[in-house]
Amino acid sequence: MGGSIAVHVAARRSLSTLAGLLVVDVVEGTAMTSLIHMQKILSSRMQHFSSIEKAIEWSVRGGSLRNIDSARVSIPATLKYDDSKKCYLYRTELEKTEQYWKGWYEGLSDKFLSCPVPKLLLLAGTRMPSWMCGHTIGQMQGKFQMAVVRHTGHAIQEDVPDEFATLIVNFISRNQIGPHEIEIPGPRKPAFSKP
Amino acid sequence: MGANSLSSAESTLDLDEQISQLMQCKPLSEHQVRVLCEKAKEILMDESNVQPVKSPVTICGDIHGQFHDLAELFRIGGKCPDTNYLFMGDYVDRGYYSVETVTLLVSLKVRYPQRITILRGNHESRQITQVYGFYDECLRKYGNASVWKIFTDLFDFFPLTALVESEIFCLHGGLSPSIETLDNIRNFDRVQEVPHEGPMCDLLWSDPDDRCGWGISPRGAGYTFGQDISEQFNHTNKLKLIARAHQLVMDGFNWAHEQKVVTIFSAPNYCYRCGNMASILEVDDSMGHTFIQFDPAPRRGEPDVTRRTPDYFL
Repeated sequence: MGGSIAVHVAARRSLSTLAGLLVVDVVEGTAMTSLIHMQKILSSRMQHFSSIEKAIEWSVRGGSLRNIDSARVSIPATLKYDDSKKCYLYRTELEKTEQYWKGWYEGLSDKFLSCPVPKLLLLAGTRMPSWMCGHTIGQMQGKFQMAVVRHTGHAIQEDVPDEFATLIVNFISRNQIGPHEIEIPGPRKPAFSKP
Repeated sequence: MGANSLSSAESTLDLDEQISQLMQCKPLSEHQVRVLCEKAKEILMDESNVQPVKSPVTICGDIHGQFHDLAELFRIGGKCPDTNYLFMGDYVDRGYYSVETVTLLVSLKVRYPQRITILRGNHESRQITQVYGFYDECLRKYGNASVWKIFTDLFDFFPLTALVESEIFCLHGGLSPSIETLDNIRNFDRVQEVPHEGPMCDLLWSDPDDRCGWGISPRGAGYTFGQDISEQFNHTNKLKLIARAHQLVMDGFNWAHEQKVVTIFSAPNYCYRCGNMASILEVDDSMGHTFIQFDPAPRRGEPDVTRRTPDYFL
């Protein structure tokens, strides 16, 4: 849902400093088509873990991630310890959010295309055929950049972080975002000023 | 000469049979494709980066593997060689029949080299075709990637632009800040993979824009160019019109820059769901222009393309 949040915020045009919009593997068409399968997908996940390491192991072995190093960073924050059951559970009960799913994705394509900033849509190459998943009309009218990243699942930023970083750096450079064109808001104190 | 003559006659017969087979949307064998593309390469390597074309000619935009819609185009525009054709690239990817589409157009080029001109689009590229379908289609129809390699090697030889009676400049994408004159285009070596940037990339990726000057293309390659740019280019090169493809336009054609730039798109109901019309541009021998719009051919039941179970994405 992160992609949906990003698009909704960008479409509101309330962030004067917004310089670009990058969406990772979220497209209205495939999202809406997949919603009817989502409860089944959620219920097929392993639900209980004796340790965080077991959860990390499962996320790569049986879940949707492919990069164990990345999973070690991202998975712990998704878990909480249940004292009564003496095991780790998912912190967020996604099943209970079903009533909101449709609202997250309906109209997303039009909102995405209406954003005035440079736009990059990344799609996972294993979603076949990937070229059918994009905002086809908008792409063929030249309104945004699309990159299909092969050999990755849905979490592109986790599965292939180096390639992902390269795509972002190239997007920033090409669209002249950054110190020479647009100031990037950062921490108040420069890092080197630390005592 | 007897032996050569016989060989040539046999070759023509073979080609006609292959064209008949292709018109039924039946692919050639790998060996036939290999022989065909060798002949095509010999023809195309002698063509200019700015290939001269005589009128009358019918100018066509993107096809994108929609074979039955290409057949519809020939029904409406007339058969080749009775009608002269100029195709501005993007024969492959997205549609289900890229193999049959590009093989037919290359066959027609070999059979009637003076009657049909085939330019290169941004999708006539090794990198793009591995993502947008042509590679996978070749694997599916031939069992290996040899035919994909044969065609993508041939694509390097496609001319980049064409010039109709010295008046209409035709190309897939648009202009480049690195190119001021047609001689600039004539002078570089086009036989290479489409680069990520530079003049050759720009010719295949750029788009006209309502805003003046050069802009960063939202596509991630090429530039956008305004009316001031196209006016200067047309004036410098004594052109009357720039005809290009590359962009989906809902009516099949779209004028820009006070009728000095036109976009032509020839894949109706693009990707079998965009709902757009297609069009071709007939240029008669007095250089008069007529757009012919057309709808998609009747569907025959699309082939099954494997889809994975939907992924988790909440």
